[in-house]
Amino acid sequence: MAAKHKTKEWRKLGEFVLLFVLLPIPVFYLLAQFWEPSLHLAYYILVTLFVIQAALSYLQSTASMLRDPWERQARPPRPPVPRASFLVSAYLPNELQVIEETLQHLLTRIERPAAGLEVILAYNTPHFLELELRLRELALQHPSLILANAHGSRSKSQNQNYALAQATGAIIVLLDADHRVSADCLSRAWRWLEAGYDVVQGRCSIRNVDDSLVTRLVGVEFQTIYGISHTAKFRLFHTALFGGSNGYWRAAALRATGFRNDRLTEDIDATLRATLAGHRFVHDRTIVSTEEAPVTWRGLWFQRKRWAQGWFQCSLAYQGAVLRSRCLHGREKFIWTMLLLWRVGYDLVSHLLLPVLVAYWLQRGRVELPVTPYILFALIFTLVSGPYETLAAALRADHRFPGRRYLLYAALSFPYTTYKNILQVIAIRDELAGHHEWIMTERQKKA
Amino acid sequence: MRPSEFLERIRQIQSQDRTAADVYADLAINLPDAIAREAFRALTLEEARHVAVEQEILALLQNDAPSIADGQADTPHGSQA
Repeated sequence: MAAKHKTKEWRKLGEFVLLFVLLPIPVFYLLAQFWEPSLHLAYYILVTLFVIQAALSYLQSTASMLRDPWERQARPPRPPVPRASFLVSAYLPNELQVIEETLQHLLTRIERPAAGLEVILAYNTPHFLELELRLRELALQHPSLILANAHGSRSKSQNQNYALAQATGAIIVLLDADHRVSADCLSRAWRWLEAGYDVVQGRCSIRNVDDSLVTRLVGVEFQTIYGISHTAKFRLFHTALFGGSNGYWRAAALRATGFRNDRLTEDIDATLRATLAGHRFVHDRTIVSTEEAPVTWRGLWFQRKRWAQGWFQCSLAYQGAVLRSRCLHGREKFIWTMLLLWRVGYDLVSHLLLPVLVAYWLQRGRVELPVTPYILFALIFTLVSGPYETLAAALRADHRFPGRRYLLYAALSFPYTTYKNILQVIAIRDELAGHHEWIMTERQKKA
Repeated sequence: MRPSEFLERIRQIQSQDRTAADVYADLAINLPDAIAREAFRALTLEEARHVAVEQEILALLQNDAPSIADGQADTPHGSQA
């Protein structure tokens, strides 16, 4: 099965090279024969797209370097927290290795509200597992652990909806099976919910950073995503998103939203529906949860492709509604358009720079880079944006890595970004071809 | 048993009964033997009745004794409120 998947993906990569690198060369060359300025125009348009993307990155990196008042407090105030429900989703047997430790952590390490706490494990399993006996033992020891076996469930969304029907908390915390949240997560989240927000998204950090080159890169990447990008979106554009785990929902908001079974990223889909319904989201990077990254490039490929495909589904479904919405103000509409429509357009078009250059060389009969002051500025501006973002991430990291790890990430940011952009195009291709296969993220077996 | 623990135990059992009802309902449709299907249909109804009674007990306890419903659940290491 793994070999079959691998062959399919290599074929798709071949299709990408053909459609986005090789075929455009003669197209641009022929276009230039009919209208000479077309190549220059295409070149400058593409370079300007890179400049815009880099400008947004600089803006976000700079905005997130400041600490907000709550971040500067060593111990923030602790208001009384209402009853909370932790909903942990697990797809067994894939997550056998991690689920017991996650449950133990929640049952014994989290600061409990006076009104009580429950931990609901929403799971599905193709057959009876010995683990279930151990889970029942755990439930006997801890009355607040509820084992919700969602019989017949085929997805995380179904598991979550099944558990949601049984949750009794005023705050509902959604976690993946491998997540370990900080002990004070509830009081930190509640101060936002008490202030009128409906959903709080915390920071997700990678726990297994030393397992491989992939996890080392993803470890820094997550610091840029959660420490910089998401934080900046909230500060600059007053919006945030629920990323699938370490999310704290007001119970009424989550019940009104629910999760759709036909989405590859049910979290982004729920975010958009809730946002369009007027619910308010906040991102708080002081609420930290750790998780495990895929260890192999294969694992990373399938995980990120699923995310990209899910985002594309949401772009198709909600971009129009975002622009028409009376609930969202201009800044929110702007950033959501950047995340939805712009992201798709950029992913598709940004790969055309190389074909444009090759067509230009063919037209000129020699290899030369058309460098002007603007092009030189654009080149430096774009290439430095990745390292600048990495620096910002290091300064605002929840857990700072050795400096060489950030240097490695900064040095590899351009090829890594290119890898992800190619992956996103292939995800768009899969969605348009109707391929919705969910390949579970492999878990590294512990020795 | 503390009142809060009593409520939690009922919720635990109720979740198990819900799963059992779902499994029985599935078998009541999919088994080839008609007698077995009938038996599982009866079990499905029985489990659904369990879930409903448990819900009534929870509602009764929560209405009559709000302090029980709010719970003072202790961790194995003591309250951390």
